[in-house]
Amino acid sequence: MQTHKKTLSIAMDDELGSSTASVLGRVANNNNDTDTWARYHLIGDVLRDQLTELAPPNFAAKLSTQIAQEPTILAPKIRVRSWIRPVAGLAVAASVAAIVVAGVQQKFSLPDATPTTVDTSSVEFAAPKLVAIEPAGDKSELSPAENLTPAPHAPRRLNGYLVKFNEQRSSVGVPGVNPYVRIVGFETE
Amino acid sequence: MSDSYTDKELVRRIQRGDKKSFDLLVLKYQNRIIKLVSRYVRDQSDAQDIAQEAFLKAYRALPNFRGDSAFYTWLYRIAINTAKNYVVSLSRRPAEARIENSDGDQMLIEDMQQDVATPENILLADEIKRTIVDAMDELPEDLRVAITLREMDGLSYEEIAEAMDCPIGTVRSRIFRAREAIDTRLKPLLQH
Repeated sequence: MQTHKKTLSIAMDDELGSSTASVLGRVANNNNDTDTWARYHLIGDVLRDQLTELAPPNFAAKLSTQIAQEPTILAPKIRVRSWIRPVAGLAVAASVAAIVVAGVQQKFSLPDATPTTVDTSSVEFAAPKLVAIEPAGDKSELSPAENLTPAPHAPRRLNGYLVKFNEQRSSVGVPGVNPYVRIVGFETE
Repeated sequence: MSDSYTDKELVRRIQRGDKKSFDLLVLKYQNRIIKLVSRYVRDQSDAQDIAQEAFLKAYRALPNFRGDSAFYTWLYRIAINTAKNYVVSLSRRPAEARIENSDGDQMLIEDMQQDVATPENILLADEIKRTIVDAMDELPEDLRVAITLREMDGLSYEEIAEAMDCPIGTVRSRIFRAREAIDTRLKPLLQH
């Protein structure tokens, strides 16, 4: 009996190790051991000055009766770990964002905007050289590709188009050309 | 509050369907929980009811207890919340239930009826305290030091062995003998 109680004393101090489970099982199912367990803990409560009001003698018994009427717990419920939900949410949000970005890029990208690899091995690069600037008016020596002078009516048409565009946009309350972009036009003689 | 291995083991047993193990947790913590609840509720009978409700809530919530915190810390929170809810519900009671006492303070009729039960329990608690303190004084010094280091300072057996310069086996025996000596004096008080 004394060995029994000594084991209980060691168990309640968390010093019994792997034998704790079997001792607790025995204590829980033996009224004498349960009473000893209660008194040993009461001694500890008093020594730690944790006793102001004593639980009535039937406190645990009443509770035990109520617990007996409760459904038996068979296993702890498996719950999703707390960090999984936010991480999963973040992953979904990131996936959606990636799909949207990819879609927008695909929609607005120009066909020739895709970078391509060009074989430059056959291209001969000429060394840069100084070129004398010809006086204006003599354009006969310019190659067709270099001759960028607009058609005689083009500037006027372009300016007219820009002005009309601005008027039309401002009439519906939408700024036409961005205000920080100057409209540059020129007149040719 | 350290995470007690014994508590973990008891919780594990309860979660496997052993309701009796919950009795051991109740017996271990009942006085502490009643003391805790008494800080919120003046009436002792109410404190006991709230403590009972807190234990019941804890039992029902045990399937969700994962052991992230110590069992007592978890139980402590449940008890505090139960007490706070009670205080809130008390403040919502109808005014007709309140009367004025001789000092002009308002109190509940129910409180007055329940206060009658308090003195006997307080007397018993005082007697228990006195008995345990007397029994402690009569203990041989090595037993008194051993149980003091364990119960009041919370030292492990290994730490006590180091402090008292003796083997762990001796510490086990001293603490047990001290408990037994006190228990011999305590037992007659609790037999009704």
